[in-house]
Amino acid sequence: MSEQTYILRTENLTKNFGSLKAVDDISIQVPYGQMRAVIGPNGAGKSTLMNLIIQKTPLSAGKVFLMDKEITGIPTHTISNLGMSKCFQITQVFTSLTVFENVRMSLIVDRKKAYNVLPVASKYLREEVMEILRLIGIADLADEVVKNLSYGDQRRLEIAITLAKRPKLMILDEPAAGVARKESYVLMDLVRELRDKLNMTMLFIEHDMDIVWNYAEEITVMNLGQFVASGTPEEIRHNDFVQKAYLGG
Amino acid sequence: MKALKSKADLVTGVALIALLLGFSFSSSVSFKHLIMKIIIMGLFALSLNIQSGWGGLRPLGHGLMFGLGAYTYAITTVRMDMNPYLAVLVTVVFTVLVSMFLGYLLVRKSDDLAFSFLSMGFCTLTYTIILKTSYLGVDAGISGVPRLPFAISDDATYVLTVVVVCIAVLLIYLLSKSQFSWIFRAVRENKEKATCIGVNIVRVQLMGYVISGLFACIAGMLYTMKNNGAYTYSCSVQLSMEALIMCLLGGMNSFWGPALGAMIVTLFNTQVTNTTIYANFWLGILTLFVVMFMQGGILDEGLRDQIKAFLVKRRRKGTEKS
Repeated sequence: MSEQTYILRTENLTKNFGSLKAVDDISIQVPYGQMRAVIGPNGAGKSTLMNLIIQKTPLSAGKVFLMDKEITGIPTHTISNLGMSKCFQITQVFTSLTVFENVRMSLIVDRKKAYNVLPVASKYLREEVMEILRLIGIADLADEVVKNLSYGDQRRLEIAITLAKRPKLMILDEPAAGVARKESYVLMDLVRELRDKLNMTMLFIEHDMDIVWNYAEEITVMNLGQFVASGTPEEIRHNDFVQKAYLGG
Repeated sequence: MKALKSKADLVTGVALIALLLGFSFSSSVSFKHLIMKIIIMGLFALSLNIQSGWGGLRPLGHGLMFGLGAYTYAITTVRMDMNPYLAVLVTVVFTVLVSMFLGYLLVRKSDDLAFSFLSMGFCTLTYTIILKTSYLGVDAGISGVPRLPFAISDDATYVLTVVVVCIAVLLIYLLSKSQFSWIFRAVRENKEKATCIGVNIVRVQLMGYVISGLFACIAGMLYTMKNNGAYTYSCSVQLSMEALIMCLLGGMNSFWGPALGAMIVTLFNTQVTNTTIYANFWLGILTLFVVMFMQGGILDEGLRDQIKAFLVKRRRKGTEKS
């Protein structure tokens, strides 16, 4: 595949914490529109890899390309405005604000109005925000203060906030974590629907193998900071390491 | 609920303007000076609340900005013989430039404690320089500072102060309804999330710092005009701490909270000192009481909700008994 078919490319990504190699020479390519999962046991370096990709953690070595543009060393807030957004493992939202205000923050930044000092009406951007909330299925919670929401609804809100930035690539760090099994499938169905409707690419870390087998189109396996394997769910299912680590083989 | 709160803020503002203009008919010069001091300190406290209440920053040296306004105006008019109108412009431009430079040094530190103490450090440094430099008036300050030509008399200065403070407070109120203020509050709430949605934290905090410094500078200039002089108190850490107490007392989450706090603190400093030498002691006790039992300050929304809930509970008990 030519480089132009990859929305995300990493070259020899490495992160050292002293003598510990948390991420060791990882090179991955994620095609446009794919749902890619990254799996591995605890301590494999998956979250560190994601943090290196979004430049939250500085690299020790390597490069990151987003839509063929090198983003190595670019601040996280700038990368968010270039089309890549992340949903955290532990939900990060503005808890004292309403659902509506949370999503509106994201829209304000997306429209480059963050430094606008002129007063606006309290219902500013209402329609645009409601459209996003309807897509996510939480429009009826628009005026609820976030700290009163259930964890599952907060998870959905986080996706809504991320969506307001119109990302081309959404990174989800354990989207099913802390959520009941049935709810996690509903959430992943939503993620897939968003990918289909909005032409996005999804890269997610996940420990729940049922989620991975059912939703990932390609799976990358890591262990101890190193690349182990990459392939379709069927190929990975027969991988020796995955058999031992996850399937008791 | 928010629309009602907004209307209440506006009604309060209009009532205050009417009251202040009414006071202009008073013949007592000392009374007018007291009112001027209260409203200037109110503006100063509101300027601090832009950083503290909105942005979650805790500058322990905000007095530096007040002092820059006071001393720059004094130096340009008295030492450099500048036209007062030009001196006002130079003071504003100079303070904005200094606050941009200092603000950048301060907000680059993501550690809140470092921000607070660096701010105090710069204020202390400036205070010490003033104290040791004869050109800057040492501990006697700079006296004989002229007022604006159209506002020489005390009455005219009073009207000028009321008008300027009202305009400044209106601008702060309008700013509180802007997209910038929402983003600034979001940064206070969750910096990491704000970064992830694309907010440049340093730039937003710097902007808040500079805007806050601008309004503090205006308050400092008005104070110098009122007193016909700039004195070391204007650039002191003590003033900075008093401003923080004003915000805490009144309530950082309410628009008028810092102004109410400014009124209380100013009255303590001017009136209670006439009756007891322990004024600061009682002010300290009041501050402790508010911080421990009215955590959001006197005008905090949470406190109003608590009082409302208490009254509803009492009414229900009364109804049940009967």
